[in-house]
Amino acid sequence: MRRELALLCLAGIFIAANQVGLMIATERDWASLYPLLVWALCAASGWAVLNRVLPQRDPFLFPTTMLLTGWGLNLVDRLLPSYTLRQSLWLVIGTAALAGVCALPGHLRWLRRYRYSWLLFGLGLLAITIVLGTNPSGFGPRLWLGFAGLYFQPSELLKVLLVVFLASYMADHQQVFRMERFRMLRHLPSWRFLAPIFAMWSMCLILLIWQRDLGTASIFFLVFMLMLYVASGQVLLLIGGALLLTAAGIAAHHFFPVVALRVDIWLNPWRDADGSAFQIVQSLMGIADGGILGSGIGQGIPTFIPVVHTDFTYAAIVEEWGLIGAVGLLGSLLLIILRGLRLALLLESKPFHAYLAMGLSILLSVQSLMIIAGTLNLIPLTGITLPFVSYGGSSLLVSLISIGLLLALSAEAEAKQ
Amino acid sequence: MIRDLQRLTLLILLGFSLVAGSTFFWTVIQRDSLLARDDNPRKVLAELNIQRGSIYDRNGIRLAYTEAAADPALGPRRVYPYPEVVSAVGHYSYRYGQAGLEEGYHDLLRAVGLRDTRSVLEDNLLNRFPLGGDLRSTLDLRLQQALFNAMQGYRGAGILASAPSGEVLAMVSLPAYDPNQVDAIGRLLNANNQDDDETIRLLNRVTDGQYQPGGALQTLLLSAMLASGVSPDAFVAVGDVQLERPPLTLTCALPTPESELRLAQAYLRGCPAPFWTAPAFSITSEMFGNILQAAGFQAAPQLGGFRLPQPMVTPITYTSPQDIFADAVGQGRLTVTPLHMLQVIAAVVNRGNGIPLHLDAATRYPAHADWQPIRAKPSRLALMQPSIAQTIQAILRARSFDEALPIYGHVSQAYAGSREYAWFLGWTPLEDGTDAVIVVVLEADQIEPMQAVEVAVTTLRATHQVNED
Repeated sequence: MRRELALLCLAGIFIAANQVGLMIATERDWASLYPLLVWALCAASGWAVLNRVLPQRDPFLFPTTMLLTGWGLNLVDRLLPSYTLRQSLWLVIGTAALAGVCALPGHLRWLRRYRYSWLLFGLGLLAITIVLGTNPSGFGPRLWLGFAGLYFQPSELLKVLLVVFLASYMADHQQVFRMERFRMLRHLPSWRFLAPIFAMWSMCLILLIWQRDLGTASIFFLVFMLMLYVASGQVLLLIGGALLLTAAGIAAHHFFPVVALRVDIWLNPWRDADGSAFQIVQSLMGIADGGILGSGIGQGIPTFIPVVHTDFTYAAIVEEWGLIGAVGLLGSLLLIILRGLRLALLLESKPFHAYLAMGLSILLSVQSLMIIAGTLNLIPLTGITLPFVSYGGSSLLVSLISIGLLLALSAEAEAKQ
Repeated sequence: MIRDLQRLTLLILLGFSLVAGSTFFWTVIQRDSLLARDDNPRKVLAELNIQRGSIYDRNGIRLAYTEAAADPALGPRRVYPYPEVVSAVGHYSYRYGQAGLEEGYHDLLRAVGLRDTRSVLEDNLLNRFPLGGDLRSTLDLRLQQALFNAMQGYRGAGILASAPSGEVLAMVSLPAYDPNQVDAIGRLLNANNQDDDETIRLLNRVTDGQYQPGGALQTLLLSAMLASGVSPDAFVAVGDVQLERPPLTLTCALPTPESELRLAQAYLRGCPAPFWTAPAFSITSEMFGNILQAAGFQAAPQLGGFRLPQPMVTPITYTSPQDIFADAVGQGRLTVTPLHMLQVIAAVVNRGNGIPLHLDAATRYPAHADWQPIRAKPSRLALMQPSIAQTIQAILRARSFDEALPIYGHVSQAYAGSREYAWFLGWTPLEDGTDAVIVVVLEADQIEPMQAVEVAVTTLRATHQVNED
């Protein structure tokens, strides 16, 4: 607990230094430090609640999460000050949700038992967006549900619900997944076994593709394949999945002009640096401008990058915190992921918990790597957020819920030990 | 499952290593090439945010400096409180380039090469914008303003320098432009609405103006004639000269009712006839070519502090006496700049030698108090023998163009198509033992040679006043 408190304090110092630095660099008044207070309140109250409900837990997850969310708050305040209040509000809601998940009794049985209900609920919300969906900016894909000025993106929740569903299903049928015969692919499991899993997964994909949320659809596919691989131990599944994904990419390139455009930009962004590739080129220039030490918060020009606050937060971080900041960010994300995978190892005897921990870690790593790699032009760009850091209430809320689940799992692991 | 989890962990670690490596690639390896791209707005802002150094006149008056714009988004702006110095100081524009001293000392003013590694690191860490160095010129603002005001209403060039040091005290090309408005002019030119009036303003006639020398060449020819043994007291015909190509009638610059005069007097009045017959006085075509070579007319002029283009000048060769007829009266193939002609009159007062013309006097590093003087490159021009220079000087001293002050010189005229040029090459000795040498060339459809004299005399009077102060 002391270690966790020390880490939380270090995170607080970093966040505070950023916020004060931003205030000085942009010549704001002291009132502009309010996000720091919001963060401190969330950190303190979250820590207090966790001490009460989960006294035995992983000491790294919560401080690292709060570091990233606070950094994200600094960044939103830097890039889009008018959205700071909203992001702060989501941080409060997300922290409350994290605490709520941790406080729920029953060792997450409520998730496992009602896996179909949860997934159908998520799919239902997603389906509603087809009819009632909206976009906060007023244009673009209508992926949000809005009420009283607040907007929620159901696909974010669906990611976690899909992981929960897969974890529960794989845990219940673990023996089948691990059958020797299955390993040899000579005797595939019956369709009755595979149908629900593929049906659920396919529904997710269809809905997402219908909504043109191809980035999230890619995440679903990758998470599914990786979880299936770990559950079955079949490397061929991974290879087959990669081939399927490539085939899907080629088909998407043919049928979706936006995909074709993104692939062309990825292949050679310099050909049309002032036109269609402007965003990625400015991102790379911003990253280069950061150098090793960064230009300092508020002193770079990441706002040259269009939509920097959602899609290109990594570029903004590198521009202002440099390579050192980038390493810090990647290290923090990796720490959370590795702690999650560690939990999966520790909870091997409890398959659902192990798969859930693994699935959530895979989700976090896939999403982080996809958007960062897209920012660096390693892969074509996808319109997804960087967990904890990018502006986006739904993403922040669901990410914090995921951490809440990991914390609950860590308590299980500690209790087991 | 453990083994599969381990493989998964390795895969994730590999992914993160790739992105970390890629970040390193862009922030370290490819950084310079990306930052140097012309379409990188950060490069533009970095350049605009440099606190460009100031340019001063010889007395410490700021002629150009940088100040913060009212709108922070626009970045600092360059201010020229005395637009009349534009011909010497030039202008600075990120988009349209630099000219004059702004161009010649662009690196100093931007602090390029002035910061050591520690300063660079400190500036990067603290995100400080670099501070440029300062330049002190040889210009005297009072004399610059005197020459500029005297030339108002005319089109042409004027340059005033000190002999033997070669310090340029004033330099004017008209019509000129306001350096504070150079971006507006640049936009106009870039819009492909080529406005000739604007284009004309951007030409620096002192350094780049190519003029027919006409009678201004007489000083050099006289020196050659004297060197070949001709007496200044020899009588010569001073009637009009009829040229066929181009078809021109050349007359004396000053009213000359006589039909015959001594060579010295004919020279004083700017009469072309004696020099038209120069070949008769044993000046061969080879000698004439050598005269031009020695005077530096076969090469681009030099001016310290300026980056003058160094075009490949094809030397004019003279293979027979007939070749030099038109050039001998300054109406042939030969064109000159006022800078060239200043060396001619400077040689008269400087024992036959050219002077190291320069506009730069000293530099000062950022945040330093001391000025570092600039040593001018010595002039290698030897235009005439010292004794000849003395003789010519004595001839010119026979008449002062001012009643109260000793202002001497040679007045002449030239023609180019429908344009007429009035030349004055002169000087005045100062109390401190130096000489102020001046060249003025005015152009118009019709112009009197004495108009160039008036401009020069007004300026040289100011030189005495300044010298007394």
